[in-house]
Amino acid sequence: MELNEFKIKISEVKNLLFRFARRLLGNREDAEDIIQEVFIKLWQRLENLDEKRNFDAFAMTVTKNLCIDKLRARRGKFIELDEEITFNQNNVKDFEIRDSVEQAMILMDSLPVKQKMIMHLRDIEGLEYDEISNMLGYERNDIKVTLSRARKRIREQLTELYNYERIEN
Amino acid sequence: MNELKIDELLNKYFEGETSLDEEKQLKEYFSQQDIPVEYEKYSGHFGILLAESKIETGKEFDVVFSNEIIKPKIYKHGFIYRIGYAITAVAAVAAILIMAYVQYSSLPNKNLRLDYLKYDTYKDPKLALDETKKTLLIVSVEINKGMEQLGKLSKFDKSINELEKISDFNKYQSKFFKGGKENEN
Repeated sequence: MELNEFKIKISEVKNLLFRFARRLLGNREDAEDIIQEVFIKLWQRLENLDEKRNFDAFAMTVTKNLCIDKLRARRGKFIELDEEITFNQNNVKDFEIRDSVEQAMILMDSLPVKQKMIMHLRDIEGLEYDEISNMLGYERNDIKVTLSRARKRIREQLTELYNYERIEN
Repeated sequence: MNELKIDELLNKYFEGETSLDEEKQLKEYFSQQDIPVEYEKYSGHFGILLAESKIETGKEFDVVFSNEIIKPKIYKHGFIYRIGYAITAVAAVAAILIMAYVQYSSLPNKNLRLDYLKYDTYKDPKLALDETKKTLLIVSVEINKGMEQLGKLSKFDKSINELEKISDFNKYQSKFFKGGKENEN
């Protein structure tokens, strides 16, 4: 693959990977740095890449791994992809001052990493389960179960917030 | 879309049972202005799903990337990259040799140097023989002095022999006690 051909390829997946990295890392700068690193890695390994293998899926795998490494480096320890972040009354009080879009954003960001990755690819990128399975390396059924858990969690927390605000008013 | 249909779609969505098409319908529904109060709590969620899908990389991203991507490829497999390693290796070996030479040539005592091995010390063989004999004599006298000191060791040997008798005693003692126990049984 020549440089120009490679540039066309990556321009097709650039924003998809960027949004994914931004979702996991929480800010634009880190996400852009990671994607630069991903593309350099892909370019260096291009000769060894299996032509038949899906380029997008491989790019996503590299992005996912680099993002998780970055999260681990930030936390300075192993990060559990299913780790639950407890949502308590204090959070609810903080939410009062925020509008519904901000609230929804925080709820999505507080999901465990695995749920966040899957929900992002399905609900924001609108990808089929098989495509997500190919990109993240999880079984199709595992993806469906994780997604439904994530959505239920969001619904419960939105309802909790709604009820809390109604009582307060 | 009527409320019954929305209710059904929302339930399906939160159970993880909706198709991509149905999810698209929900996003479209929540992007309109007039949302009934009972569904307001979900508007923020579907709002970000739409908004987030439109975010793109910054304008400078492509420029930075284009510059970055060419660099490592050239240097990693380039001639300069490989020759650099060879130059470093040669320089390291040269540095070690130079240091060894400087260290050796700066030894303060000339006797410690090995230069004299290159030259004969005596030109007349007879004189050389006499000198050698004299030297060996001195060596032998010194060795004999040392041997006299070793003579004291024979006293130590004697004492050790005495101690061996104790081990004989132990042998008999153990035999005696063993015999005693057998008699008891």
